[in-house]
Amino acid sequence: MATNNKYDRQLRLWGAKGQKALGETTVILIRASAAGTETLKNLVLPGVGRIIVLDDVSSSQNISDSNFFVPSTPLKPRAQVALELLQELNPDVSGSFEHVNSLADYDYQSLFANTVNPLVVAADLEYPLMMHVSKIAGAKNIPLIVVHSYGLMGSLRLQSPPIPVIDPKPDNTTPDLRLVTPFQALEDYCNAVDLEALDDKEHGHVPYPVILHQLAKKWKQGHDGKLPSNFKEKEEFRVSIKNAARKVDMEVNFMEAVDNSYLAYTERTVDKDHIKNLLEKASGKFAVMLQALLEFLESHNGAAPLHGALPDMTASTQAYVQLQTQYREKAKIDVEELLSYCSDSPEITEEDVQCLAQNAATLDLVKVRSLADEFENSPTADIVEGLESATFDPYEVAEHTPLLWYCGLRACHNFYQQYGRYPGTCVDKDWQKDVSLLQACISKIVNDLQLGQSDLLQQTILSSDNKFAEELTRYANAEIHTIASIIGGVASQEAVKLITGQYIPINNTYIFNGIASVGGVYEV
Amino acid sequence: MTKRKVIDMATECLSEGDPMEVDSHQRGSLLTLLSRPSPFASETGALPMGIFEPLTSLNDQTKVWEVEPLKSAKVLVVGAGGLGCELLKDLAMSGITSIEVIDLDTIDVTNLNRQFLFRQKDVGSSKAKVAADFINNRCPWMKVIAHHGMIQDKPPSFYASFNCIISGLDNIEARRWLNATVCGLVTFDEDGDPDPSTIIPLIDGGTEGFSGQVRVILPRITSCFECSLDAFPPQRSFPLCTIAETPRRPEHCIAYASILLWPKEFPDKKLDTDSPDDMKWVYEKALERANEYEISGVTYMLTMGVIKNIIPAVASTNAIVAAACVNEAIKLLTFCSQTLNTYMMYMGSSGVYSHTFVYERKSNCPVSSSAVREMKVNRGKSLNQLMQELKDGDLRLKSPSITTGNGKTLYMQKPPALEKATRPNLDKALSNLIDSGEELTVTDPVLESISLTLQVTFD
Repeated sequence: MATNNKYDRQLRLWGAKGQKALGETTVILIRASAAGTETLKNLVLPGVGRIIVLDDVSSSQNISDSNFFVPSTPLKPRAQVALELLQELNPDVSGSFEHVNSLADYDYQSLFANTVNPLVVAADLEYPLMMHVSKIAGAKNIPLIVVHSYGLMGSLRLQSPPIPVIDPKPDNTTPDLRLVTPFQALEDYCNAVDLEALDDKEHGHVPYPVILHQLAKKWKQGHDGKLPSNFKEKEEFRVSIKNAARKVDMEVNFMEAVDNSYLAYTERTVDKDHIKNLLEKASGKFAVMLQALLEFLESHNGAAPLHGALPDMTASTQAYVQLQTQYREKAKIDVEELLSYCSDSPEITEEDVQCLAQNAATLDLVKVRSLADEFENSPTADIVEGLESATFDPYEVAEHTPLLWYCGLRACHNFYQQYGRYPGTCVDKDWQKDVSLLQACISKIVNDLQLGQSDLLQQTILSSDNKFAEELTRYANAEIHTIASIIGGVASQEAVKLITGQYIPINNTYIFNGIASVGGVYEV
Repeated sequence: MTKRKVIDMATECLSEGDPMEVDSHQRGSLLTLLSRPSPFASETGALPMGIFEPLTSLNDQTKVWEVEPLKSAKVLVVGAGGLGCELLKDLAMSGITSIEVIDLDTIDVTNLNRQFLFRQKDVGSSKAKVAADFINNRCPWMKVIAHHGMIQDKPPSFYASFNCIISGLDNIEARRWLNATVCGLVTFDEDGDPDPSTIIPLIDGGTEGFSGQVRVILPRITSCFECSLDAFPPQRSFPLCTIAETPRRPEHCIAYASILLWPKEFPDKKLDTDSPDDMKWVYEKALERANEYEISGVTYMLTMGVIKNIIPAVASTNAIVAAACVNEAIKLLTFCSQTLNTYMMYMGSSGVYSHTFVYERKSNCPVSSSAVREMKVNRGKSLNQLMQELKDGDLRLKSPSITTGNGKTLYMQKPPALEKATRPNLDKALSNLIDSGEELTVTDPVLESISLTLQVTFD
C-alpha cells in the first residue's frame, strides 16, 4: 500500500483540521432505529471521537429485520447491540450505551450538559419526544439533527445555533488577481516587464496577468483613466489583447489573456455593510474574526485581504514562480495584519485567519429556525414566501414535488399528536379508515403554512382523490432500510459539515421522495 | 386495553391477526408495503414495470425474504467497494437472498473509511469474498456468492441469469462494457419489438466526494450508459512540454518524476502505485525537481493523488447512492411503487442539491439505437486514419475491428494471425478497399457484442 492512513480518502475533503474536529466530537443517538444507526455508521467510519446510543427497546422486542446493526438476537437490549456493532466498525471510536425504560422520561438535560462537544441525532422520534428533545438541545445551543424514515419518504431536519460559513470550499472560484487596484509590489513587477524586448519564446510565456496589466494601463491612458465599462469597450479591449500578440494563434498566454480579460476590470470585493450585519449576530471566534476583517477593511480603504493563490497558466517557470511569489507574499502580509487584530484571542490561529482572508467575499452566518418555531408557531412571512416560490418550481411530475410530501409528513406528526399513534397503525383490521382522518390533518397543516391557495397544492395534495393520505396511511410509519440509509447518508454528511465548519450546510429540511427519487431542501 | 398490554402484545410479536395490520406501537415494514395497495404503484408511473398485486397469503411469522418475487429474485452486484458494500447491505435488509457479487480487487487500508464490510485484518484479501462472507454471517438468510475476477471474463449467459444488475463501478470503460453486454442481451421479435423477457434492468451508481448519481437503464427502452458518454470528458493529462520544460505547479513535478524519470531509471519495471518504495522514489524525485524550480507544494499525499488519480471518497455519499439504487431495484422487482425516470444527480457539498430528470436516448447511440451512422471522408484517407477517428472522436472506441457488409475483413484486432494478415490494409486508402456508400460493421471490446454500422461515403 502506498499509505497506511485509512482516512486518506476523506482527508482530501476536509483536511487534518476537519479530522481533528471530528475526533473531538461526541455524537449522541436517541433511538437506535435504522435511520439512526445508519447515520451513526457514517460518522463512526470516518472517525468521530465517541458515540452514545440511547434506546428503550428491550431484547425481546427486537423484531425489525431492516436494521443492519440490530440483528434479531434476543439476548441484549437494542441500545447495547447497536453500540457494539457500530463501534466494531472502527477501533478509533469510543462509545457507550444506555438502555432506558422510556425515552420520554430520560434526563437529556444532564446528559447534554455533561458531554463535551456534543452533536445529537434524534431518530424517528414521535412528536412529543421530538419537541421535548429539540427544546433542550436548542436551549443548550447543541446542534441537533432529526431524522425520519417513513415508508418511502425520508426527512432530515437540522437545528443549530447560527452557523458561520467561513470555509465553503466552492467548486469554482474567480481568481483574485487584484488587477483593478494592484498592490505596489504587483504594480512594480508588471511594469518591469518589457514585452517588446523579449524574444519570441519568452513573449509566448509571459503570464497573462502581466499582459492584462499592461494593456489595461494602455487602455486607461487612452480613455481618461477609466477601464472598459460597456460591452463595446470590453470587446475592443479583447481585440487590443489579440493585437498585442506576435502570433495570436500560437501564443497560448495571449489567448488566456483574452479569455480572462474580465479580470482586468472586475475585482473581488467585500461588502463592509454585510460584514457589519454579520457581526451583529455573530459570537465567539467568528465575531472576533469579523471584527478583525472590519479593521482591515478600514485601514485599506475597503480593499479586501488578498486571496494569494495564482491559478496555473501558460508561462515559463521563472515568470510564473516570480509572479506567484508577489501574490503569496502580499497575502502573507495581509494574514499577519489580520492576525494582529486578533491578538486578544490566542485560540485563533494563522490557519483560521488565512481561511478568513481567502473566503472574505463569501462569509455568511446561517440562522436556523427552531423546531419549536416550525411546529408550534405560525411561519414568518419570509418562510411563507420561500415555500410559495418553491410551489412555482415543482418537479416535472408535480405530485412528486418533495414540498408536498413535507406537508404530508407534517400531517402524520399532527395525526400522532391527536390520536397517539401514526396513521395506518391500529389494532383492528380497518387501517384504511385513517385515510380521511389524515386528509383532515393535511388540510390543517397546509392552512397553517398558508399554502391553501396554491394551484400546485390544490391540484395534488388537496385534491379529493386523497392519494397522499392513502399512500402515507399505507406506510404505517414503515421502516424501509433503503430510505433509512439515504437519510442516514445525508444526515451524516450534514453532521460532518457542522462539526468541521467546512462546506455549506442545508437550512434546514431535506425531504427525499423515494417513489420518484426526488429530493428537495426547504427552510421551514 | 391499557397501553402496557398493547406493548406486551407487540413485544411478543405475535398479534394474531392479519399481518397487514400494524399495531399502533409497531412500525410497518417492507412487508406492509407489499401487502397494502398503493395509488403510486408501478403501473401508475412513467416507467411501468408491471401491475402491483398486494400479497395476501402472509402469516404473522412471514419474513420479507420468504415472499415472492423477492424470494426467487437473483441480483448481481458489480463491484464490492464503496458502493458494493452498501449495495450488499441494502439488498440483504430488503429481502433479496440470492446475490452474486463480482470484483477484481483486493482490500487496501484506504478502503476502510467507507467499505465497512472490511477490517484491518482483511487488507490484501479479495473484496468480493470478504464482503460476501460478512453479509452471509451477519444475515443468516443470505446466500451471497462471490466472484473474484474481471467482469469481462464472464459470458453473456452469466449476466442473462439475473433479474436485475446493480453496478457500483469506478471507471467508465467497465461501465461501457457492462452496459453494452446487458443491452446486447435483448432480442427482438419479428415486429422488431424487444422481447420483454430479455430486458434486464441495469441500475448504475457512481460517487465522487460529496457528489453522486443514480440511473435506471432499461435496455432498449430508456437511454443507456453509452448515450451519456459525452457527459464524461476524456481525462486530460498535463501537456508534455509543461512537464518537461516549464513546470509551474507541484503536480507538474510529480508527473515529471513518474512519466519521464521513472521509465528512464527503471526501463523494465512498471511503476507500482501500491508500493511505498516506488511511491517514495517518485515523491523524492518530484521534490528535487520542485526545489530546482523553486516550486512549493510537493507532498507525499499530493504525489499519491496525482499518480493514482485519487478521487476523494466518504461513507455518506456511497450510502446515499447505493441505497437509492437498491430502492429502485426493490420497486421494479415487486411493482410496489414507481420507478425513477431515469437519472438522479446528487451534490452535497453546498447545501444539498438533487436533480431528477429523464436522460433522453441519443438518436445515434451505438448501443441503444440501431441507427446507421454516416461518415463522409476524403477518398485518400487511410483505414488507419479512419480507425484513429473512431478512437479520438465521440465514439471513443478503444481498439476497433472492421468488416464490410459483405463479409470482407478490413482489419481484425484478434486473433494474432488475422491481425497480421489484415495489417497491410491499415495504410491503404479507403477508396482502394471499399466503395462509396458501403456499410461497414465495427466492433470493439468496450462495446462487447454490440456492433455498429457505419456508412462511409467519399467526398
